[in-house]
Amino acid sequence: METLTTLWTPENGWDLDLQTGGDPRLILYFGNRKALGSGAIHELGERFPDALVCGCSTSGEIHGATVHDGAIVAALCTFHGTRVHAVSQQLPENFDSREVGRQLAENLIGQDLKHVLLLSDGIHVNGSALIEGFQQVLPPGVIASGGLAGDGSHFGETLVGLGDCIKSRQIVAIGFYGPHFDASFGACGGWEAFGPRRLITRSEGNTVFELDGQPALQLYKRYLGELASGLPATGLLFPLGLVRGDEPEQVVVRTILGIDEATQSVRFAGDMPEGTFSRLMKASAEQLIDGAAEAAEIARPIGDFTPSLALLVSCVGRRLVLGQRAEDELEAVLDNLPPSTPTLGFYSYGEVCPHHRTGSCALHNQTMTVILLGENV
Amino acid sequence: MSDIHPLLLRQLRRLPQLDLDSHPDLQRLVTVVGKTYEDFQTQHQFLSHTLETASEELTEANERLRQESESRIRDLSKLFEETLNEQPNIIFRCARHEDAFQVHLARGRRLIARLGWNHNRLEKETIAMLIEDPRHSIHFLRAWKGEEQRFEIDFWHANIVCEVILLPIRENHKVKEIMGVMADITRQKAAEDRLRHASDDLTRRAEELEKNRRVMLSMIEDLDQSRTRITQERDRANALADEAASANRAKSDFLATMSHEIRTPMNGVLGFAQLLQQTILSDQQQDFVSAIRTSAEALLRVINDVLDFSKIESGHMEIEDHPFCLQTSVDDALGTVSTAAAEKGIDLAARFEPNVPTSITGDSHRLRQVLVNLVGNAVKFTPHGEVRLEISANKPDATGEIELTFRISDSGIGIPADQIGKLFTPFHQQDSSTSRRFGGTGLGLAICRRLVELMGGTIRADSTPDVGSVFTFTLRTRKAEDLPDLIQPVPHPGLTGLAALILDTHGWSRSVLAELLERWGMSVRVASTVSEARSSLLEGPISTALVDQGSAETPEGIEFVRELAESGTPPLILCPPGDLVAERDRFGDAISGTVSKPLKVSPFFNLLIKKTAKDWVPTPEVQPAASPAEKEQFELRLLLAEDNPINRKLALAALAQIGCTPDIAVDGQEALDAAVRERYDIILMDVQMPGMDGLEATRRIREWEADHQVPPAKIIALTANALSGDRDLCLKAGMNDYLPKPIKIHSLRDMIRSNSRPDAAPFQETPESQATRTLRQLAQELTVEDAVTLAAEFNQDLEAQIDSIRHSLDLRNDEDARRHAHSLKGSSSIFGLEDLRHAAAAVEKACADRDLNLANQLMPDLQKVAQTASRELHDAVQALGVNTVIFPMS
Repeated sequence: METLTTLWTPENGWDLDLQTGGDPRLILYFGNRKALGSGAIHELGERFPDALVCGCSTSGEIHGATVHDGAIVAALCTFHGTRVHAVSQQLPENFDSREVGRQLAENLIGQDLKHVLLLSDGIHVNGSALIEGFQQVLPPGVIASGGLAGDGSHFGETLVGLGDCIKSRQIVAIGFYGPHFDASFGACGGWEAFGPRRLITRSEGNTVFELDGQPALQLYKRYLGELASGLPATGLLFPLGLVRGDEPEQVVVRTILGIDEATQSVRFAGDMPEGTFSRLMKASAEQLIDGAAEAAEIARPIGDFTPSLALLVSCVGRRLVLGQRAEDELEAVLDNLPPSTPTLGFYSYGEVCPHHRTGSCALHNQTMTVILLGENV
Repeated sequence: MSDIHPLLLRQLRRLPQLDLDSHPDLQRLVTVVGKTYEDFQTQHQFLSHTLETASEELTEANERLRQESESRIRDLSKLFEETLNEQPNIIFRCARHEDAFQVHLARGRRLIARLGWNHNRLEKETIAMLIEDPRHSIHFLRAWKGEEQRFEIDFWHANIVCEVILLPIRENHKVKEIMGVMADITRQKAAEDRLRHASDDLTRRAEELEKNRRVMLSMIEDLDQSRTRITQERDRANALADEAASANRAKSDFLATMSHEIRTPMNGVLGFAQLLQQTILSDQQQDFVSAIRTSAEALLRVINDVLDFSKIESGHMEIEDHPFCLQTSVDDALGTVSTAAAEKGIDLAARFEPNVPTSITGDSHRLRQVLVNLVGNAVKFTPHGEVRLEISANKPDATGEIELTFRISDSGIGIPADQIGKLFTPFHQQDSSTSRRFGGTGLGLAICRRLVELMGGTIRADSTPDVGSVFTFTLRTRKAEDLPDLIQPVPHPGLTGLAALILDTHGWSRSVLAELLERWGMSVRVASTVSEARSSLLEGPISTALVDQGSAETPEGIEFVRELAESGTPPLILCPPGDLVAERDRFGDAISGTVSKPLKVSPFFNLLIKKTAKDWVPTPEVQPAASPAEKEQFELRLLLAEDNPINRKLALAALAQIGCTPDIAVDGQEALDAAVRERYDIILMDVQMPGMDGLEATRRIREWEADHQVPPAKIIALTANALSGDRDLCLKAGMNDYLPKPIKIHSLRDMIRSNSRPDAAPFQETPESQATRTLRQLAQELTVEDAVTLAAEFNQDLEAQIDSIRHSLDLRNDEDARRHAHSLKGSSSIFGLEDLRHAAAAVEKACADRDLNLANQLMPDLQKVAQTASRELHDAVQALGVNTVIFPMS
């Protein structure tokens, strides 16, 4: 597998001579929402008609160790033996995220399916439910990884595209088929839980109404203080970590996706089951950067596997904390990757990755997720 | 550079030589660094804020927790305290301090209060002070040594018994405290006591039971023995009962047999004694025969009493239930004692209350028997005065039954109070002197009582010695259809309005008679003296006068009678039946007639009507002792020559019955004189007479007749000898015919008729049966009552007699059959039942010849003849005018 990465800016367009792009079968792109509407993607599709062109909107584009806003980054992947196939699903008025996941997975089932790359709408979907749906259908050993599209810090609408169809409320899943295809993953947050355990006393799906009998929004406002006016974005500073009873070490971090003043509730990127204990989490930039480095560590391939593409899916919440130093975490990741590994990614509203290499898939929030793709020769 | 971070600014100032303007890269770096500083600061602030907030939260949480905790602890504490205090026991903790056990803690206010301890002061007390009994301290000491203790304390002042448990509490292997629990076990103790008592009780009872059981066992043994004995006794009793039953059966057989066997020879004795009397006897023989008759009659009475009594006692007495005329029965009963009463001058009469029915149903014989007994006793034991019989009746009940009350009162010697109770017991006599004076079997009243009871009544006696006695008995009966021609005590058209005068010194019978006449509608004047009678005549004319014999036979009376006769109302004389003829003799035409006293109501009525009634056509009357032939008057001059007064009496009676009143001659000489003096159509000449006998007298009379050319009188011999030889003698003596004695009226009548004047009215006579004639004869020789009794008994026994013959024939016992037939033959002849006599004789002969076949063949005929004969006898009784029904054999 070979990968060429390229950057598109509104001023300069694509920085790669598209004529020399080779014969990629898969083109992945991540771009600013507005930028995606510019026709740049269409250009790619025209230039490479045999390739699957998939991508989504972001809360920041990652190209190497640089973060861009307002741009589009793309990776052109050429395979040797590996087939790719992509399916998409439009979300209807009433939908069940889990069912959608199942459906998509079913459509991808095929011989030698090794991996699924998932790009999902970032606002409307219950990410954890979506992944569960995938889990139920995908054969054991087949991992789904990917992320929830972003929309800067607006939390308005996100776009996901397959070919020329770039829409909101869309999910695209790409299946990689072939005996040689391989992938490795790593995700790490760097967030630290603090304070008492709080019981989710009232919640519904991914919306939490009460913690310890108190309105959830109140708690956030209290901790944010002056920053409360920036909700829901500033809510990203205090993701809620779900404490699993059976795996007290494994704290699943959940990002705020939205708030509701009327019900004093807070909506998260994944399921927040009633009766689960949670803790507020915080992180310093250093912690986050260290976390990113660790994610890369975890993702470091074992054996002979040489990744051809490093897909970085970080979280918009990290960007908020990191501020200027967002590229520091990218550097930290790259430091831990084999040098000159083509690196592409985006800041998302949610990351999809297994906990460990062979662990089950989960929706992560506020993490740096490193997905290494390649073919074993 | 104004937006450079102050810290950086300060740091830059320390490097004055640094010229940023000339180094744009440096400037850029400074900017980035400054920004980074800002970022750091912001982050720091942010983190501080976070920390503060977190701390605040923590503090709050802590405070909350602390409060909650405290509250919780308070609540728990309170709960705990309450629980401890309210639980029913006392939980306490104590420890040894120096010599005493000090109470640290004591909870359980209820028991504490009940023990009389002060809840508040408890924890200042020592154990010794609380538990006064020093013996308990040993337990505390042991507990202090580490032994668990359990013991009881009796708080007798509070009536509470407690169980105490002491538990040593250790710390570091040393006992530092004793925890105790005191529980109220008073009730359990009480229960224990009760249980123990009950247990003792039970043990005692068990012992008793065992004792009783042994007693019972021995009793059972005894019972077994008794039962065996009883079974034996019962068997014996059954055997005795069987014996008694068969004895009873034997008794009744005996009674039946005896009744017949005894009466028959008795009747025979009596009958033949009578017959013997009719024969020619010397005076001495006559006396002997009289004595025999008297004794036989007395014996018969005794036998009858005894047999009756036996019959009653063995339950064989049957009470009949037939309609009969009460009036007549009463009259007859009184009639039997009328002579005795008259001889003593006792005023005897029967009074019927108006509501007493004239005819009733019941056993007329037994009623008569009772009445006869009681009235007879009354007369017997009354030296003078009166004997009243009063009969009353109550209202009929729903079934139509009425109760008659018969009250016999007398003015006799009375009965002492101590004797009254024993009066009706058999074999009682007032005292032995009484029995000697008055005779009797002592069974009479006992029989009366039994009979009365059998007839559904009760009998009682009251008496005052020397004043009199009252015997009262009741009878349950019903009104019967009146026999025709019975005289009712209601106004009679033939007598209504007529006046009658009664002269009688005897108050009772006078008042009874007066009442009777008044019931018949007459107006009655009574007088007890002649002068009174004369005065009452002044009140107005009378139709009838009734004068009592006693008054009539005084000189005044005789004159008064003549006065009445001359004034056109010759009186009727009331006298005993025996004097009926005598009085007629005495007064002749001066009197209208004689009436027997005590009154026989129906005959009296008939007589009254005949003599007194205004133009009222009498209905054919039932004439007592009258045959139609009495209507006929014989214009005959008759002489009766008979020396024997009885026979003379009989003959006179017989003649009177056919309306003849002969002259009397008591021997042959008188007969001769009379025949010479007078011309007689018929001379009845007794053959056997003292001095000149009848044959001689006849011869002499015939001589005289021949001498004086006088047409010869018809001389009829009266002879007891019915042998043909005698007849010849009579005829040879010059007699025309002969009549055997006892005189049969029938024959006498025939004889007179055939020897009477040819222009005499043809003799109309309804043939009178032999039986009637014989019975009439008997009635005269005995009394009507006795004759009827004999006839009744004959009829009663007839069937039994025939049965005896048949029974013996069945047993092929020809000897017994012959004996019975012979007996029947004899008794039928007494009553003149010739056909029966023949039939019985035939059977007797057959049996004597041992020809049982023939005897059996003759039986049906005998039966038939017997039926006829008994009916004949019944009719004969009726013909006597006795309205007692003696039932013919069916």
